[in-house]
Amino acid sequence: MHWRSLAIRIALPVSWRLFHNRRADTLQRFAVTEADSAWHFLYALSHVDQPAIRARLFNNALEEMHHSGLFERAARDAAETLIHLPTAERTVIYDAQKGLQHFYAFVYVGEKDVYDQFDAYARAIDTESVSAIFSNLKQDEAGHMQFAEQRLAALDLNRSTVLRQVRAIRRWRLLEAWGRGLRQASDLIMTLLLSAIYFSLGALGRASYGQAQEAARLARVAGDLRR
Amino acid sequence: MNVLGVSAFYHDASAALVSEGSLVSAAAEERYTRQKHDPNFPKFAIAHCLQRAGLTAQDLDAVVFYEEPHTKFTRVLASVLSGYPRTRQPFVRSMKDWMRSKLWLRNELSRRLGIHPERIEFCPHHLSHAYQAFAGSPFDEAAVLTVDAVGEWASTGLFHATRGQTPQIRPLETIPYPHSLGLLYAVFTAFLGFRPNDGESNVMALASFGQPRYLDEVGKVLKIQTDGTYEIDQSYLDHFGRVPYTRKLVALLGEPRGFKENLPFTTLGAPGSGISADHQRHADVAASIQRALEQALLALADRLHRMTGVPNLCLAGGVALNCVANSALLRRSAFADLYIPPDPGDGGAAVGAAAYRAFRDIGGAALAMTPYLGDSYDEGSDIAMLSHVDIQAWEAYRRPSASSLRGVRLEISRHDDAGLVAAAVDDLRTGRIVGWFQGRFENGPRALGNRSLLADPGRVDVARRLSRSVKSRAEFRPYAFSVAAEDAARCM
Repeated sequence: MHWRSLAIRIALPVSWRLFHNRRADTLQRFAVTEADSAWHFLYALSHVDQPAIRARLFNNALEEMHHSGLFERAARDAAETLIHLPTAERTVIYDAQKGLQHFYAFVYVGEKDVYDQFDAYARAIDTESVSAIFSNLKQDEAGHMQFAEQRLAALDLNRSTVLRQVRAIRRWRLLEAWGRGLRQASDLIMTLLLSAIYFSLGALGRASYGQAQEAARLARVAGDLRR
Repeated sequence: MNVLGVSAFYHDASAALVSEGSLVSAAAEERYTRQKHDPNFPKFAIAHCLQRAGLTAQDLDAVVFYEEPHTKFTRVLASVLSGYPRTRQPFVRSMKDWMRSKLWLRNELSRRLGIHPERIEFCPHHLSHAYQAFAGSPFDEAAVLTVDAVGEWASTGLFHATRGQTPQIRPLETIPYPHSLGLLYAVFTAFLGFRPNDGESNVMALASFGQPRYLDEVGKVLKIQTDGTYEIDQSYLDHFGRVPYTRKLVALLGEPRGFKENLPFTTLGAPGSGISADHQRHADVAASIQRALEQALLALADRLHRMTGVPNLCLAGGVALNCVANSALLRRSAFADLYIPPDPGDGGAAVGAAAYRAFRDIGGAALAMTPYLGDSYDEGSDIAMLSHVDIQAWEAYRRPSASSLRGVRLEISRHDDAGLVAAAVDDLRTGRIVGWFQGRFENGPRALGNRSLLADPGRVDVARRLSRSVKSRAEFRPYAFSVAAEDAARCM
């Protein structure tokens, strides 16, 4: 996705300079994403029987947690004020019915995207220490890609079956990305609409709330006097 | 009757199941998702509750949510509009949030659980806390005090609870938003550079290094009335600003602490060097708000005692996580006995919501409350996995302050109970940190022996290692001692 890489390289430095705490927020979001990846490995691990594969998944989870920690520290260093800590609702990738091949294919596609994204961020960021985090971690993500590829190969599946699965997951992720884009667009429309409501009716709401508070205060004073 | 209690969409999402009069399980979603204070719909906690009881969602007679969303919405709307015209952003943000799902919560819960909307009920937030406090208590009659940031409109609730012939929890009085002890403590948490709704325990710990020199100043913000109620001067607070306090509070207490500033206080050994006047001022501010909170709680407790005349107090709400204030209530209030549930905060309110519906059906009988209501795991497969783990690969993930893993080997040994205790004691004596894992995990934020880190309390170096290398937490935070009940009087 060269267009995405290009967009990151152009937009990132500008947005980090323009918006308060944006640099820290972005890094914190990466911390959350990496922790989410770790969680997926742990979740899959609990559904796998072979100890050796469980151990590998466990190591991958630790590695992702380590990445999350690095991003978290970088976010904290970059923050000007306390940053919002987002949480992600966990959606399960591992599906017992679809089996491990679906999970590995998902990991393969996901890690490839992350690899490309880290590469773009590493090139776009002007702070050497932060850029180095992205450059170093993309090698680990390449390792995860390789692991998923090896596991898929070990499952002894037909190559065309694997490719079909990978393509299906890519299509699904693309649709997801479009969905996110649409949600962002509707979010913007909603913001404009709500802002208009706020400025046209807000004063009325404030006055009503003030009156209600004053009535409550007077009732309390009257109660005190009666006592 | 099977009743599922749910708390979610603010913080500490949790689920609890009362089945045929027994509290079967209660678990926080964060234990499954590894996200602290996870507010998202507690699907994993619910799955655990149902699985534990051998039920499906279809077997549930009722699902009770821990607050009334529509009443809460009126408060959220009124409070953001009270700041017009500078609250556009909070207004837009909160309205989007509400319009997406919270306003349609009955349908949302029904959809997610796959049950008919008629089976979804709502319990007022402070009533959830009241049931949570009383349902598991050993008392037949008690006064119940609930104190948190804010529910629908109330921030504090006073109740009278009875079992027996006509079991009920009767609301006596509430103190409405914006007067809130929980919110005020959260504002001071932010003033002292910690994250509100998370760093309150830091404030409580920091308080022990200060003197309440600013008690008079804090008294201008938190006004405790002669009748035991309180009011908060809102001119010091700004709930919608970039920071939740105004310049007036800064003028009163001095500059706030920056969140990156180091605090050189330590509970682990001699007083830390480099304690500046500002560090001490911040500790004094912490001590002052802590003392003011204790005074406000004592005043409320005494008022409640006068209203009910009963000797027992049950306490819940997020403020009940403040163990220093709790001990002040136990020692200095007019009540003879105090009960606080294992998780008195919003997570535990799921238990209260379930108890609210089940209470009458079981004739108000006490629920058998224990902290160990979470999931349990079979360690067999994990042990098999460990023999395949390359521990040397972990060297890359080591914290800089932790010692190297080079040459470290992983040993797996099996013991009977006595042998296990002996081995753990040996490890503790030699300065090792022991991770103790057994049975079902705890309901609530406290590690109470089933998922705990153990260390020798006589060794400051070990406690320091635990703080620096394992938990990554400030050295002014203390650790809890585990003492056998029969030895407690001798040790403390």
